[in-house]
Amino acid sequence: MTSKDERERLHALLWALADSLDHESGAGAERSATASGDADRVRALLLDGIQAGKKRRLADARAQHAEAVAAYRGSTSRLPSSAGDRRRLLGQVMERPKVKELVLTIQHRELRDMNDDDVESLLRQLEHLGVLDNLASKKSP
Amino acid sequence: MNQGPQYATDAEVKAAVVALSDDEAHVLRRAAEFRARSLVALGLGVDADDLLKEAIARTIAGTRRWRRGISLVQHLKMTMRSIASHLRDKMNLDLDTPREDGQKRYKLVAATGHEDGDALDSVMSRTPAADAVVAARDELRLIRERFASDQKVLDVIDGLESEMTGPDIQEVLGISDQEYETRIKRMRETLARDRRGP
Repeated sequence: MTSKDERERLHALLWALADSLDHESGAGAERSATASGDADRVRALLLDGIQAGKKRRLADARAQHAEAVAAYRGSTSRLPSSAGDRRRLLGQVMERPKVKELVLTIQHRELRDMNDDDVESLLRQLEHLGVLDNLASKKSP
Repeated sequence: MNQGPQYATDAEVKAAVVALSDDEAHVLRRAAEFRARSLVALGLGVDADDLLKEAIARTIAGTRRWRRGISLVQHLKMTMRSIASHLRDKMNLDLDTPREDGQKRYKLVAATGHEDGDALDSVMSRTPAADAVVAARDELRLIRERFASDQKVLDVIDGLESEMTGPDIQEVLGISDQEYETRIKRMRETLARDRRGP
């Protein structure tokens, strides 16, 4: 007999017995007289588990969304301070076809139809996406 | 939720659960019981129900998706094994930590990190090491007493306790694969029956 801790020896034995069921699909299973009730209980347990899994998935999605919103809100903005300057900046940004396409996808309207709040909100989104950085870096000498 | 064409949808999982035969449900129950008992042996308070429920919850949550092509029973057995293996690793039995008196001891150190096992980890109890050793010693003694008149099974128990693989045990004992499976099944049935009680 080895000098292994009794916990490890018992664990190894029971783990191997669990593994031995890998080849069991259910046909000829070792059942007791109360098997049918037990099977109902297993199915009910699994159905409960499905609900638990759905709740967990929803909670995870909400947490990820909250994290994304917090990151967006917490980001430092370097937009111009005046509404006029912001509108001019957006106009410059939208001169690039791909950016204009993105803007139209987000806002579904042209610059002239956006109010100052729309302009600022959109610029913040573009800033968060890094579009303004790319534009700035390409314009830099 | 669309999990990709190679993975089952929520509806398919639910349909498969509802369609489980009594035999299949029984196999899952047995697998959960032995897997959970193996962790209890290490001092982790894991319930078979918790393990089985966690396996299906992770299947739906997306962290252990059910790949089409294998049965739900096989998927859940593999998932329970994976969960249990992770929990066991987190226990971090340190075989090389010596005591002051020079004797080796096993140190149970809970990992600090968390993965998607939080739900199960948060409800698990942990038995103090000394108590777990006593409990394991008692259970091993009871198991050996149970098979005192069945040397063939005791030989297999010796091998399994030493973490020998099935093929290694067969080779050492000079028995066939079929004979080995017969002894394992006899052991499993007896222990499960004893656990269930009259």
